[in-house]
Amino acid sequence: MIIHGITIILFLFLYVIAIVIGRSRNLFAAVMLSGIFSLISACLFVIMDAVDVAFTEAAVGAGVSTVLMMIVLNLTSDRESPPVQPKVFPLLVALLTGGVLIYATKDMPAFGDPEALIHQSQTTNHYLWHSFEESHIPNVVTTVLASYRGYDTLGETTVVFTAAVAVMLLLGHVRESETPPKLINDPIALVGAKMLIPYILLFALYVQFHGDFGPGGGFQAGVMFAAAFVLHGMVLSPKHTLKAAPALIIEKLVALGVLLYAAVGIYCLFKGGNFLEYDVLLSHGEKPNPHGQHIGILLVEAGVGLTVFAAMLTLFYKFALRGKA
Amino acid sequence: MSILEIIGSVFLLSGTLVCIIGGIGIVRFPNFFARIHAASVPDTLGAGLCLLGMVVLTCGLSPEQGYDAKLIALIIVKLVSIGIFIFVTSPISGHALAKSAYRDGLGVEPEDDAKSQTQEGAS
Repeated sequence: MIIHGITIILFLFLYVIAIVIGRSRNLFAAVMLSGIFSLISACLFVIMDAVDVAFTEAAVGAGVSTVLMMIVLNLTSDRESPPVQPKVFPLLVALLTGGVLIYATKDMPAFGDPEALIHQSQTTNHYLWHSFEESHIPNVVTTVLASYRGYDTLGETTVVFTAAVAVMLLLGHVRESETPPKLINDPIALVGAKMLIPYILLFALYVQFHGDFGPGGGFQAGVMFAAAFVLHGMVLSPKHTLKAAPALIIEKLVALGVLLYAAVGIYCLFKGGNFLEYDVLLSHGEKPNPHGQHIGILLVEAGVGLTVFAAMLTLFYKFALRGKA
Repeated sequence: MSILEIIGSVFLLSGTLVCIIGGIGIVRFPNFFARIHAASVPDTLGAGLCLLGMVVLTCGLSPEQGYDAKLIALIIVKLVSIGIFIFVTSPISGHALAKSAYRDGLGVEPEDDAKSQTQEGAS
């Protein structure tokens, strides 16, 4: 009962924030509100017991993307220019899309419905009951993400890689200002950041390698690792971060992560298995082979973490090092 | 109800009370700087008291409920590290907000807030 009340209140918050974002002309406020929107969504995911998703939402949506948007606002203006003409057509499109989405929810099962198709399916039952004996990893989400659905995750990592490459191509060799705008100019923030950065890095590594046992994994850890560098760049200056993590190396890491992921898959092919079939790693022919699964998942997660970290940091560099237009 | 549960509940309740008072302050205080004060000071104390209450409640967990000493120690370490994180970040964020507002030339009179609001609306 209490949980229903909390859920309803959080959804009300989401509605209110969405409306305020839509009405606000102040882009700075809109960016901050969208960060709060993500944080509340993360709370809702926790209530639905989807802690891995909540973790990603909090780290990406509320954390790094808010900061990146603020850096972009630093380059442009934080006021939305007033509309030139009444926007009837966009309103129609928005209403139509919203209507279709609401209509589609009619076909969705109720939350936690045991009769729902997803809970009846053989695949789900196999994942839930046999994943531990096949990989010896307690967190089913990690096994599904990196092993059973490893091919999908390779695709997702490639999407992150493509996004980073697209930003590099679009903003690549535009004039970089000699003195990039100082983002936070404050000694107290500097001291605080110096205290926090080592622990953020340590926590990111924990999240990376603890993903097998609890919520976490490459996506969250990569974002956190990048967040530590972004914090460094914000309290000192992006030029200082550039010395600690040269852009040339970071750009190569974006590709290296995807390469590592794909290389594990191809190595599996050479060992006589299917693409990304980790059972053949460290194997003497037995199946299932938890050791192989474990090492495969570890390497693949490392690849994901590397790509996400490097992509986020590249985005930060590309925006923060530009002079004001 | 054990003595630890009572102490823990008292800490939790006083923590939430402090947070609610802070929330009232954000709405009621006259100008921006006073409101930042109302937002950040109770934040540290309220969250600290809540975490302290959770630590006390965790100490009261017994092996019969499935919590051995190692697990309890782990939970306490996690709670304490959250506490340290809040203790460092919350005052700094309040300070950063106040300082950037001061640099922007925001005054302390209630009219100044209204003025900057109308400026936002106009520009």
